[in-house]
Amino acid sequence: MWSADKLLSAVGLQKLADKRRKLVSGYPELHGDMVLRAPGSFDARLRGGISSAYDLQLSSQAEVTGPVTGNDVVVAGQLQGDLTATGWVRLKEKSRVEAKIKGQAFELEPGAVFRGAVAIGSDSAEQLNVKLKRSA
Amino acid sequence: MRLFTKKLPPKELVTCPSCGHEQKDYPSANATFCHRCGTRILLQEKPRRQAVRKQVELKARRRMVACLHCGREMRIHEEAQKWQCTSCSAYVDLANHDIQREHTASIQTYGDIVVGAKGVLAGAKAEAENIRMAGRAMPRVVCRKCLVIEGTVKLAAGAEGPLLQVLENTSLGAEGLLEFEMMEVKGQVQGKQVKVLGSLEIFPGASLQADQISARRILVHPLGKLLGYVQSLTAAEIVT
Repeated sequence: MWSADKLLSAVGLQKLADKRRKLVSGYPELHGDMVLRAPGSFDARLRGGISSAYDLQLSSQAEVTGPVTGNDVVVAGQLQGDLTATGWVRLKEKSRVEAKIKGQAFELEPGAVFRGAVAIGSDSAEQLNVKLKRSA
Repeated sequence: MRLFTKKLPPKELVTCPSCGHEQKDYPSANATFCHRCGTRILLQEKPRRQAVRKQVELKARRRMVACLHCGREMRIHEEAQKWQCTSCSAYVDLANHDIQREHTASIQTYGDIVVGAKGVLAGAKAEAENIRMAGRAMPRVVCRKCLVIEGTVKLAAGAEGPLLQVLENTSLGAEGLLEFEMMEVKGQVQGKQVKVLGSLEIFPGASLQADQISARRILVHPLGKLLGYVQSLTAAEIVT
């Protein structure tokens, strides 16, 4: 089955496909809170929060200092702050995370460095103060 | 006067493989000697083979056990219930124990322990190969293979071993440190400190609440619950 990325690449819109995959990349350092309106990966330095209603991946080059919210959140880089997900939270092999984590499911891979309070499960969902609205 | 007569089986002709002398002997005999040259003639080879096979079976059914007092390793029969150490003369317990009420003596066995719902391990030590718990334990529970929680269990001094399995519809309350290489949680676990050197898995409907949780790998399935302060264990930390 063709994904949207493959389809865009096939018709020659490589730049658009790249843009879709990597929402923010190549910037040395960003300051301020960000709202992402599409699923994708983030691989820049950020001093501030990220808010998204979609799946979000912090790639291995990402360094985020601030609260992060999303649906399924995968962290492969560095994160310092609160992490709230309405679905899965996955901390990949070489990630370094110091955060309070709330979510519905959780995976900590071997090799990930993590320290923080964790609240996974339906009770923690009630504690979620973030109301995410999907934009059409 | 003969009180009874025993009918002996008829003899059969046997030929010496060395000199060719023919003589009559009982066919049920294992071996005989040639009446002329004295060569040993084997009549049956089966009993010997069976004896060798039995020896092999006996060897296979033995296991290595280390004395719990001096550490000397011994090779003993698998079905033995008790053994005396050849080095320090201490008795090594190899029996299984079924605890259905309060048991005040220490248990250190190479067998298994089953603790029923009303059973209490109240001795100074509780150590076994596999332990199935549905009751309570006052000492630190040490298992060499697997600890299975299958009831409402309280461990006053924690537990350690390679594998902890908390079955569905069961609960475990632990005061001391729970230290295992692998942990599978399908019921409810509440503790103070949990350390998992390998993988900690929490299945749907299960929960784990602890003040401190450290593990190398954690997997909480959807509808599973995990609450506590978590710290990852890296490979370097496990070695040290």
